[in-house]
Amino acid sequence: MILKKKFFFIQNSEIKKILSSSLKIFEKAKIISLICRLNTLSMIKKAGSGHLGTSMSAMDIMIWIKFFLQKKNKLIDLNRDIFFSSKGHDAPALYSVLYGLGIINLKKILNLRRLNGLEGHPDLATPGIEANTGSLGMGISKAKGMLWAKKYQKKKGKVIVLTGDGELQEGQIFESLQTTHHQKINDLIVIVDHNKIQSSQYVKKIINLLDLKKKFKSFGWHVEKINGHNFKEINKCFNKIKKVKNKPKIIIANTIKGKGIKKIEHPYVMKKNSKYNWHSGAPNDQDYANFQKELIKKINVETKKRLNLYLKFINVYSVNFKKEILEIH
Amino acid sequence: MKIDKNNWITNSFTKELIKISRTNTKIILLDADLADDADLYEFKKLYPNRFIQNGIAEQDMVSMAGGISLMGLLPVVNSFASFLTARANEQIYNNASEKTKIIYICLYAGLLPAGAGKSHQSIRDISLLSNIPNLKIYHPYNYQEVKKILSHCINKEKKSSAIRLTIGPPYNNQPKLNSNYKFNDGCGNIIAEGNCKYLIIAYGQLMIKQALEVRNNLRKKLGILIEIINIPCLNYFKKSWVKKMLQNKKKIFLFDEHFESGGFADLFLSFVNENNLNYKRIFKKFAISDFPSCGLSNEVLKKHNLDIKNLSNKIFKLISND
Repeated sequence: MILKKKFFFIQNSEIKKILSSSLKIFEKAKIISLICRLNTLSMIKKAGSGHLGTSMSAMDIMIWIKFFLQKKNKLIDLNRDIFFSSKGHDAPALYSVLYGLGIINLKKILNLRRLNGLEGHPDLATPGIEANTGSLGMGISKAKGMLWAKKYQKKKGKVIVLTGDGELQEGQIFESLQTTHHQKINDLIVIVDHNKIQSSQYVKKIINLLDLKKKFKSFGWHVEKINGHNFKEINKCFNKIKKVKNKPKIIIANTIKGKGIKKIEHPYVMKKNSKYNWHSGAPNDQDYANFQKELIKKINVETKKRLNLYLKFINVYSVNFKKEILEIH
Repeated sequence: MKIDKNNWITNSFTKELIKISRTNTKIILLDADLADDADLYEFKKLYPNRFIQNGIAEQDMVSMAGGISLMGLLPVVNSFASFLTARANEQIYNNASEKTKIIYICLYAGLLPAGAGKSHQSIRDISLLSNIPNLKIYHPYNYQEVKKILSHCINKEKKSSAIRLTIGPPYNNQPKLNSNYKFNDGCGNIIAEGNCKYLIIAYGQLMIKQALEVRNNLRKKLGILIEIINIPCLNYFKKSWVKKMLQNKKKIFLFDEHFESGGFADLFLSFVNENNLNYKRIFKKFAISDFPSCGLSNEVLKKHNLDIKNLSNKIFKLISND
């Protein structure tokens, strides 16, 4: 089913059903990640701009952390678990997750990049957002400040911060890698969304990061490498690093920019083009219809296989295209 | 011989910070390896678990302070003004956008001492900070006023603050503030009374010293006394107070220890203009127009036309025909 000239969102009541179903945890994560991908795609299409590629590469990591790893304390509780993205331009993915969790409402995600809607990069005005980010390189520093303050005030809660890989070219990152280790802020967990593309080019072509694992280790960090789209691996890694107490931890998550929609996945794009053209901006109507179709098909295959249920007939919200909001801004 | 630093601005600041921190355990001090210049290690001695040495990494330090303040504490961040406000400017802006409260100690603000040269003299920080909402900029005149300002920033002010601190000893015979002096945010105070329609507005120990010397010269030459006002808040002014201060004044001279563009004088003149307070008045600013020179204090003041002789002559010319 393709809803021509309509934006297509799956409501968060469907995610609730999946969470309370008898499915295994990894199966739940898989379906939720597809729903959030569809909502992210529609959000960006409706806004007329946004960062699709990085949202898709970071999605599975965000889904695991926010739905299955971290506790769901009140948003102002100083004991809460904290997650935020330092690169920030993956905000549409995080918004789809916050909507999925019921922290923000449908009206908000229908108003991405609009006045009084959701900002293009994270802002504290949005419930569930922990820091104003988007200007690259500040995240590890902020996260270690949060953890330091938690410890000083004898508060509980973990702090996880996600960075990009292009972001690692910022000098502040290396200031913060040194100080986090020296200040013994060992509970900090950093995840690198290592999708290997920055803007439209390979990171190694812009500025080669060389051996990241070796680099981080030499800064005194415990380093893990995982497939950032494999929920079992993500889960296993978080369990493993729980035991590491004497070093701050960094997980290099190998990911695919645009993951989940074949035609925007970077290995596919880079085979044909010299540039990755899905870093920012909204897909055109035809591409949107095709991508929507691909994701809905995947959701239906998964839900039929697992739950014998077609989501497309229930609690779907669609909005007609309006010319004025399709302008690229 | 140990120097008595009790009446130095920096040391008075540290003493007050230590005093307030005794009861306010939310105060956390972060340092980029410049604690020695304001004796801030005294704070570390007393509250070791509230002192964070962050090394020479200003951007990281400022963002870390941002994280700390998001968790409900009050970070006080220390470095030289030139490094803190320029290199970490984007981080300060980002923190301010989160509407948390942080206090930035801007050591070594201004033109003097001039021995270290332009890498260290901070004369563009007001313009760098004044475009950041939720942030107030202060420059205390002396060891008395710095205490009042710090107490205000910690206990009363809701916004973040940047406090410019002059380093080094006060000048000989520098007038004290009245013992009943109360800091009133957005307002200044009279350093020397006048008996004419002229006014010098200044801030900080150097500019006020120059103003006093100019006043003395013009008293000798013209037999008049020019009023001198000290304004410690550099980017926030109360209209009623400014209106009252300018009453009966015809020519106003602004002494600004900053580049001539975007400093206190520009902010003040813009305020006066926006509020229609410039009626038939003539304003003249004295500030720095080129990279700050390296040298002895007197040499450098002369080079930048901020020495007493030059200031006196210029003001004399501007008023002698009235």
